[in-house]
Amino acid sequence: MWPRNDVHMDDGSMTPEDQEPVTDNDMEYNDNGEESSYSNGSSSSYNADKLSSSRPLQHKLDLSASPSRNNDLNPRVEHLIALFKDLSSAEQMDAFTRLLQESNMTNIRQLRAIIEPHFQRDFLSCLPVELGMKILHNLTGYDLLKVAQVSKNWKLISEIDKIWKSLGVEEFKHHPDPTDRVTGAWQGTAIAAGVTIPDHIQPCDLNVHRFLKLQKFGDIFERAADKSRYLRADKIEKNWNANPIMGSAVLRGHEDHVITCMQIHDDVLVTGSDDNTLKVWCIDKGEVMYTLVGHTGGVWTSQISQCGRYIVSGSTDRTVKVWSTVDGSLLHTLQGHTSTVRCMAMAGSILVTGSRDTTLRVWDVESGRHLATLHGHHAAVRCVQFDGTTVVSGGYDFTVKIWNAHTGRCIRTLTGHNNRVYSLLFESERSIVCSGSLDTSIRVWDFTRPEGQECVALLQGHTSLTSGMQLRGNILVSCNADSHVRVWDIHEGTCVHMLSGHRSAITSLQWFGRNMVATSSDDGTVKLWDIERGALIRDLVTLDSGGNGGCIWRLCSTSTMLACAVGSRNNTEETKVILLDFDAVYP
Amino acid sequence: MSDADSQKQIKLISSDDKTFTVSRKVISQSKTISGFTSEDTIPLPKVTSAILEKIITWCEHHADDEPKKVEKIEKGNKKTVEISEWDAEFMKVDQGTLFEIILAANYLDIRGLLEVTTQNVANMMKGKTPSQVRTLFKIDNFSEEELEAMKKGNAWCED
Repeated sequence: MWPRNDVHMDDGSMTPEDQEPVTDNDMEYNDNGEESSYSNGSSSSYNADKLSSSRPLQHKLDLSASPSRNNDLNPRVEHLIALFKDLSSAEQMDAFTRLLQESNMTNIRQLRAIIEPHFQRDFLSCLPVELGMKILHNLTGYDLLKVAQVSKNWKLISEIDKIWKSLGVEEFKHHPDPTDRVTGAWQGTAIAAGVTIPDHIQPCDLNVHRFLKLQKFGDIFERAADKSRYLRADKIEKNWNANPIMGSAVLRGHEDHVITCMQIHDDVLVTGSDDNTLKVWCIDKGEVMYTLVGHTGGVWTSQISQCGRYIVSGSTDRTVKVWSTVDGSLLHTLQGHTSTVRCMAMAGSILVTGSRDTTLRVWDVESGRHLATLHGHHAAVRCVQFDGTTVVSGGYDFTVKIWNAHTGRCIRTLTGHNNRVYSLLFESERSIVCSGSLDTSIRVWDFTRPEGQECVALLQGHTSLTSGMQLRGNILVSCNADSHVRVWDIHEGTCVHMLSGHRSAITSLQWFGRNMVATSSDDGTVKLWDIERGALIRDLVTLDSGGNGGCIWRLCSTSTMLACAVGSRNNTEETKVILLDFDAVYP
Repeated sequence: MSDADSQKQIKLISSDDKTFTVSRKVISQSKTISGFTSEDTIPLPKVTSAILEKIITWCEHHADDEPKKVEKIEKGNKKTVEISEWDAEFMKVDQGTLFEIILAANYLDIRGLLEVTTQNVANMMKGKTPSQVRTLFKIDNFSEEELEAMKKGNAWCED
């Protein structure tokens, strides 16, 4: 096994001290032209091309392991070595075995320390880079971060962008660029008498944080952009789940009135109110841009178009108004409904509005033209969904109707609920509709099935009306006036989790990230839940006036920010919007 | 490749001049060797006999494997690819040997063996702290300052 001629084994490991700085992916190894030998006793000529032998290291190792070499040569030892070299491999093995039997444990332990490195290998440093990358492709992002701390070589290889790109976690590439959120209302915080934000950073730490927040692209981003993206996404998720909340703001407006609707598009927040106005806010600057005045009745529904250029609002004054986000100007007033406009949905520039007058109307918001009127409901239309072709509406007549938006024809009427329908979801690709009703149930429908057989699941367990729902795959999350959040499997028709914690009706729900759901409630709190574990993550906002009239009417969010509309109906809490920042920079 | 061809024997000569006789079918998993369609004797100056023996053992066991046309499923769990019991046992060798098997599998272009050996090394790294990884692979000779600097450069993953 052991070579006759050379007992000084070189394990071929390289350490950072031996490495030249690496500036690109094509790393060049030092080639001292010498063959390396290995523990299996054979030499491989190709290794000389790929590896760098560390002769100085070998000497260092020998010296530290064999103090006697520092002394004068011992003729008896020299004689023994000369004899050993003359032995065959088998004879050497026999000699080793017998010598070990003659050695004390101290020497044997020392031998182990000398021998063991021969069986170990610094794979990433010694293999060609493309093979090192092949190894790292098998790791998760979390393990890659640990690998980067092992040595300089490992860090360099682990930061190659191709490895991070192959992680397959597409989410982390979709965060918009880091935000400012240090000016305007962000200069203060939302912490105030009567408002508790658990885990908020201490005010004295805010200045440093705000300065660091403006350093948006750090060292890692410059040398390993995709690793930086991964780290930022991971940080943002931790900011939601556990880290101190590093920024908040209060937007004041709609004083003494109810905020009835709220939407976000990119950096624009729109709030509608029963004070007859809408306000358009710039989130990052923390300030109001426009107040949209013109309605002569309370605003009860609004939308921002997908392109972000239009704001549309519906009101008790029976009109629909189309506004420009560019300058807040009124573009069109759409008339035709004969009662309150209660709900709306948009696809492209086509708008569908539902009204207490029992009809839905279809409009083109660019031209302001009325395209169709959908007759058929026998009571107020309460909720509507629209994919650009098919309209789904739910009403106080207990039915859900499917319409063709172009022809105005009712394609299907879904019956089964025995009280008002309050919320809808429509997933066009699967022809799935979910409806929540005051009859306490949620029904899941597939309207491509034969008439009368459309209901594919009846979800029971809630004890009041369902105010909001979101669906991903077969998982449906619902929030209800009974104070509970439920997680359902619509394929099995079963309740997977019931999330308790709120003390009165839940008003809004938002699902973001992989398994995080935020809810707002009449109890004056915003809570964050993990719907995979079925557990509360933490409270995000708590009003002291909760339970005495203070409530959170609406909630919406982006991947890095949460907005909640706060107020009361009995003047115990001023009307405002509280913003929480969960963003992070690129490290 | 016809049945007659697959039964043909081919001689492989290791870097230390040992000769191994294998059927073409067995060694056809090596794209490098498959390219030598007319040779009966192929010298492999970059592969030692000990490693070549391991390579042949692996190829003999996997000779009847279906070609893996199915790529790893691209989803969140793609990082937990299973390694067969036989392969796991095959790879219970010291790191130096595993290192050379990887190099030889790459040189001989045996895709399945390269996949399973690199996966095995990755599995050794999973779930370990940097310190544990250093101990496992004998990566040392760092000053305290260097260790601290490396940790600082990745501080983000700690919070």
